Amino acid sequence: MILDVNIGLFFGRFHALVVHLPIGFLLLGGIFYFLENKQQKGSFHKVLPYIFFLAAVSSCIAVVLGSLLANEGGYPDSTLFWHRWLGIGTTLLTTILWLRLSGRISIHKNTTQWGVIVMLLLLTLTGHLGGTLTHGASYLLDYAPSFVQDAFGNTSTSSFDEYPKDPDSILIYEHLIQPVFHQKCVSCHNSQITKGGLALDSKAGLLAGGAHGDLLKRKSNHKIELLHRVSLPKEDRKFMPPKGSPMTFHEIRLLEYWIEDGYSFEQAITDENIPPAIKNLIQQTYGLSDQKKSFVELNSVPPAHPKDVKALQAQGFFIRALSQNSNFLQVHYRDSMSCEKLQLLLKLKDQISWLDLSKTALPNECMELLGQLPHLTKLNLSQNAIENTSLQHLIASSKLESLNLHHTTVGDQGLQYLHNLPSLRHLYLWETNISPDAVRQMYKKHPHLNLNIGPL
Amino acid sequence: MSRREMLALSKNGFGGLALLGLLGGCNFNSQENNLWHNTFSDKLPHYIPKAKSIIFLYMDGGISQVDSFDPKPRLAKENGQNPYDKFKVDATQFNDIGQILKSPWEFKQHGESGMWMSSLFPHLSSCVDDIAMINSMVSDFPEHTNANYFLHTGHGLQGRPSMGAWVTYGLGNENENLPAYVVLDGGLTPPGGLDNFKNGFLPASYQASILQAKEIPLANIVPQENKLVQQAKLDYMRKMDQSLIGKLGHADQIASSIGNYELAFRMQASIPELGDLSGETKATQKLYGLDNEDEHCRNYGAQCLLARRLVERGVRFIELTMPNTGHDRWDQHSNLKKGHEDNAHAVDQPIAGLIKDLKARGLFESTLIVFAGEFGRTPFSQANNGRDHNPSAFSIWLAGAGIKGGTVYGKTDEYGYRVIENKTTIHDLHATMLHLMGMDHLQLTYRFSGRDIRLTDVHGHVIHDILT
Repeated sequence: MILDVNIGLFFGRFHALVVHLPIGFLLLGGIFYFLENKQQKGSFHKVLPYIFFLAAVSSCIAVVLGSLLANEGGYPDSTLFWHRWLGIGTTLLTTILWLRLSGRISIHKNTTQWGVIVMLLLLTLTGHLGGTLTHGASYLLDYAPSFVQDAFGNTSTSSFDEYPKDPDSILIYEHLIQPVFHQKCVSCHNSQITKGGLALDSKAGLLAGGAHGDLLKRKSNHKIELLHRVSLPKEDRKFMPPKGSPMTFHEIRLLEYWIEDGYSFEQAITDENIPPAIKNLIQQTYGLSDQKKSFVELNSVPPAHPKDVKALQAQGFFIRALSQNSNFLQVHYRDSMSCEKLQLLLKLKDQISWLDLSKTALPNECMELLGQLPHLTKLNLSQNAIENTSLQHLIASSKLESLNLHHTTVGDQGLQYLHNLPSLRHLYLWETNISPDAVRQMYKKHPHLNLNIGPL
Repeated sequence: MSRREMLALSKNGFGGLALLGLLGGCNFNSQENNLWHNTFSDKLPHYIPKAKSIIFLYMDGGISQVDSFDPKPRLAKENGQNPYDKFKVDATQFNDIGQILKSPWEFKQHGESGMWMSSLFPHLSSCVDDIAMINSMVSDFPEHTNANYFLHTGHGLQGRPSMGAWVTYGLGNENENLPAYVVLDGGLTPPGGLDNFKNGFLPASYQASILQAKEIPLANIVPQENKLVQQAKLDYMRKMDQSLIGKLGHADQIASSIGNYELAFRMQASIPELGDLSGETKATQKLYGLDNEDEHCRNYGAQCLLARRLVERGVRFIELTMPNTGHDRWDQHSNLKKGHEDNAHAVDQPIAGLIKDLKARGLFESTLIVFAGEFGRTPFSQANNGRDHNPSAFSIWLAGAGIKGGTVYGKTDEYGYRVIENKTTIHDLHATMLHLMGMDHLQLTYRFSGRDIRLTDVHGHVIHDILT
């Protein structure tokens, strides 16, 4: 990057260095002043005039350099205003205090004392505003404990890293685009500091646009203002953001899609109309999958009691947790099942999620027990003699995602009980008595169902 | 204490350390302290897995990508021309570099996804919407033995644990009557030998058990004596071994061999039942090509069917090796057309049958199928009708649990010679396989020679683009 020589800015950028001198001097001066007051016969008064003299001189230099730096532009107006005038105020007050302490003017002792206190307050405030200008408003508290953040109402970037667990609730604008605005635009474009007449911290502000008119509509020159400004060459005077990291290619690409697709604030990443390229981008850049997550990935249950698990294992059940971080259980059985054994499952009814009872000569008369497992997501009943009416017990298995009825005696009537299972995604019906008509009907109810009727 | 005294005192200590080293390593931080009790208790994945089992279809010898899954029309256009005029040519194994060679097979698009596949795989072509193709694989080695070790263990030299060993080390077994890691021997042992399937520095119980696709898949498994006598022998052996272990402290080899005896005892019942295909319907047997006139197709079909039966029984990792069609695997340095055609004919119908059968039985959603060779082949000929090794680009595919069917990932140049987009390494493949089994490849480690070693060494990225 080649920039023109700018002597003013060259010196201006030394502001950040020089400004720390008066801060140090004044803190030291304040401390010595009060120590002097405490011990009546101290000798601090001898150095106080020198300290305040140095403070006054360095403050003046800092103010001059600061003014030069302010010409660079790009700082939030109101913060800059206060920083500038509080800085000048501090300098003036320091000069007065030096005059008083070196005996050039006389002010009452009490007033002087208050003067020093005010000076220290001004110093703190000016310094804080300076930090805010350089690092942004949220910098200080980003890593503070949550109670501190709450106390100061800090809603900084950290809260944007977490997406809702259910991909249906992840909205393109709110969760993918808005955080970018917050990171890269909002410090200059918000409802307080509306540079260019633009506030990007709210939907209304985005829709209202700025001094250059509408942000999202294609203008007569075929450009969309928002996209145009963030994708200009970096050196361009109109490039946004002028400071800090620019928007990345992927962020701009997603923004472009979202605007051109009609900028719906309600569009979720699972929207079926999103083209594959954008879906890929979302998946890669944000690590978000548009696939609906399984119930067991989104929820948790308290762990099963080890005693109950042991009791079932003693009866020949294979039981293990789905993962190290999940209390949901997978259970299978490889022998012939009885109602008494099946009854045992109810002890773990909240935890059982994957249940494999294939080829167990499952007794139909106690199938209702399966309906009492509220968190069942995968159920394998294949290679059993399952009667149609037995399936009615699954009618309320709202979490069921995969049901395997391969090689069972289920017929059309049994399939009807499955019509309204809301979570069903996989259904296996090979080698059953189900007719093609019934399968078609099922498809009508569940167009996205992965339904298999055999390998040929 | 003098220097001499101190050395005299500590020499026994040195000797003891050396002895421990000889007897199977002084593994004081043993992660396997209760190994011989039950090797596979309480091993849980890091997160909820998509896949419970992996079937690894090993295309030994290096199938040619430009003749199977990665169509390159430019090869036909420039057939017979000098490759040196076209691009920089790397040295190959035999460095007998001929002319640019067009593919003898015709490519067509298939399925809803429009994935390209050549006429070598007419059956598999009907399954393209279930598979994710990676056209941008690279290997670090241009020669079979090292490339085989690399593909199987993530390291080009022998001695590291095989991927199947890592998977079973991480997850254990769901069936205590069968080994968790099985290699189904099709007839050809890959270069590098059985070290491709070993446990390396992992406890010996994690090595592969090699079964054959026969009526009795394992030799000497049918018991010749009374079960009670056997049981008594086993108990006695256990008692003796236990007392030996008591004297030695931790000794992996002994612990593993006790485990092996006991597993072998249980396998006397489970293995004959496994190999008995009489319960399979005629339609299923036909699906796998068991009625095919090509004996190699029947052979590989039986392997595939057995693989499904192993998956049904909860076996974690099943690798299928190639049948011997008389052409030295897929390694067609000459006679490409006949060799590839015979090999493809042997595996095409069985693999397509396996996919369809798994889907119909509901096993496809929890089984990962990986089809891979150790490298690809050159777009130019060796002699006049073969192709040499090419580790700079080759194609593999994955299907099943957690895989986004119909995806094509990565690109090669116009000759299929080098990768130009989304270069994918063997480490990436391993990371992805572990990921689908619910394991973070960064977390699955074993402490050996002073550091925590992973299957992916210090490499590997999960290929998220091919996952659902």
